[in-house]
Amino acid sequence: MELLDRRENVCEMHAESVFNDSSRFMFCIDKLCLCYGNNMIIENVSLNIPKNSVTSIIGPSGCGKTSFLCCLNRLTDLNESCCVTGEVKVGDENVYSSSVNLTEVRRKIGMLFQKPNLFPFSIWRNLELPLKHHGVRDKEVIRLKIQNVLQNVGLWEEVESRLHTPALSLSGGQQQRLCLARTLILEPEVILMDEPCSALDPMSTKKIEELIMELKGNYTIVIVTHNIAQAKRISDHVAFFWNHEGKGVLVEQGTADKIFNYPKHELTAAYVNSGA
Amino acid sequence: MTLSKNSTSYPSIADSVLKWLLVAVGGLSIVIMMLITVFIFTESISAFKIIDIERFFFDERWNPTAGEFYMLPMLVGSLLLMAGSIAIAVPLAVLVAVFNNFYAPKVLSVACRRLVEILAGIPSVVYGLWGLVTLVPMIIMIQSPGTSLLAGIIVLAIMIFPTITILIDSAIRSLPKHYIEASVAIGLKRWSTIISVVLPALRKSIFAGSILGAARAIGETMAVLMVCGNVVQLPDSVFEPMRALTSNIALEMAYAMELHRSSLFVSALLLLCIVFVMMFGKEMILRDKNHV
Ligand SMILES: Nc1ncnc2c1ncn2[C@@H]1O[C@H](COP(=O)(O)OP(=O)(O)OP(=O)(O)O)[C@@H](O)[C@H]1O
Ligand SMILES: [Mg+2]
Repeated sequence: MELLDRRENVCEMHAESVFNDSSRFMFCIDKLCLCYGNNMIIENVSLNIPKNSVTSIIGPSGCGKTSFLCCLNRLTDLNESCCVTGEVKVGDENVYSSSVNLTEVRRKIGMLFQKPNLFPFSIWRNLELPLKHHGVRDKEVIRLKIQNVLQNVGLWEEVESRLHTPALSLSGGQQQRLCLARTLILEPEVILMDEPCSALDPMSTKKIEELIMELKGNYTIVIVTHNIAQAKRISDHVAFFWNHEGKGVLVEQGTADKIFNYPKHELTAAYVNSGA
Repeated sequence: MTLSKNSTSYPSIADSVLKWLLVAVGGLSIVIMMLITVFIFTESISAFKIIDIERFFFDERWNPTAGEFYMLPMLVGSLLLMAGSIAIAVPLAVLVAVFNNFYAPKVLSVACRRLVEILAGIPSVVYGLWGLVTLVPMIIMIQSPGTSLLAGIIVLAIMIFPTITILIDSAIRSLPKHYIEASVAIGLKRWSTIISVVLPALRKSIFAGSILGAARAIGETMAVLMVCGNVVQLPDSVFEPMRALTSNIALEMAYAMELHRSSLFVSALLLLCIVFVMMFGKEMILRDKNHV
């Protein structure tokens, strides 16, 4: 009981600062709840995610981190039993309003999944497909963009000679970077990442982390991670979720420094120190 | 085989019994296949000895008792039936499978699946009967005589459509969900996801399903015999009657003797070759891993 009260305090404190300076934030999430059928999975999460920085979402397994991430680009639509209430504002637009242009929202908000999920086509086609779908038809433009984005994720040298071979023949780490390229090629403003390194070896993980550090000047990155050391390395802001009686709640959030060094909540303190 | 060798340190009796059972069954089916092929081949050999191969293609007409062996129209007819029915059935099957998986409410998709399964099990003679009493009169309203290439194509299309649908439907269902997630996450709507991701990802299954359907179509005898009119001619339009290779065998085998009989085996050999080439081609194309 006491735990929950404190959580609300923290959230309220935060909610006040929202109105001061909303242009600093990429996402303004207000009283977000998510249910699968009759099960409430996420309860009343209010959170603002600052622009051009890395926000980590940490918390134990099953506390709704993936589900939360899916609310941000409305991937929850894929599940018919999933119902979301509350507000997720990107800029001035509520992602859940019925008038929103979903194609555009999803261009603006890219997503990287836990496992590489390339299409079973060639490397080239994997990158060309999103471009074509978003109205880029000029062959030369497509070629330049593909080269550019592959260079950005450090894949160009590795795949230059085999752009037309199946993407699924790449290694796991390469596939994940190609997934990132597929997201970046649409020039998004936000990249959501759901444990992007959990299936990768330390070297590939390092590469992805380096990429995140490079990208964060120009993109807003929201990353779910189980790896507290990783969260410490890369994040500017942290949101800590907890499973309270089967419902995911936001316990505490703030700058990385605050959460890792001066956590206000004992759950947070216990969690961030468990991995150290 | 390598699995059982490496994963069990000692040979189990059940394992080796099962293994030999499988080898026996597999071997038996291969032997039977070969025997049939050899039999058809030897039966047709006397025809090849006496009749030049080009006569099957350039004789005046099909009249084996009078020494004329113009088989080309029936070969062409069979191929036309196959191509036509595939051209109708495959797109239809894709549509139904897509509808089942992406658009139909649960109840409807379950009902639809059951219905398609039932359709797949109906004997061909029933389809033929339906074609004869329902379809042919409808075609007569457009153009006589009704029994025609078109009737054959439609009946065959309806016959092979359920099988192809079942194959494509299960392929869609076994498609990893993350393809769809990925596609939606980069902004594709449902319809574009189906067109740009799901169907291209399934192209091999669709192709394999089409080949199986085609094999069934070219081998079908009874339904085709009932609705096609069985006139040996190269049809000028879909409304003209024609005769398929299979129907020809069924119609004439009962009274065929000597060369005539032998030439019927030639048509059987021809059918066998077509199916073999189709299956072989399918394997080749599906095996090509680099094909993207
Ligand atoms: N499609 C779904 N249908 C019903 N319940 C679901 C579905 N997806 C997730 N859940 C439930 O929602 C809860 C949160 O799941 P979620 O995947 O968001 O957790 P998570 O924090 O990402 O966990 P992990 O760290 O293990 O990935 C879980 O209890 C899970 O059982
Ligand atoms: Mg998760």
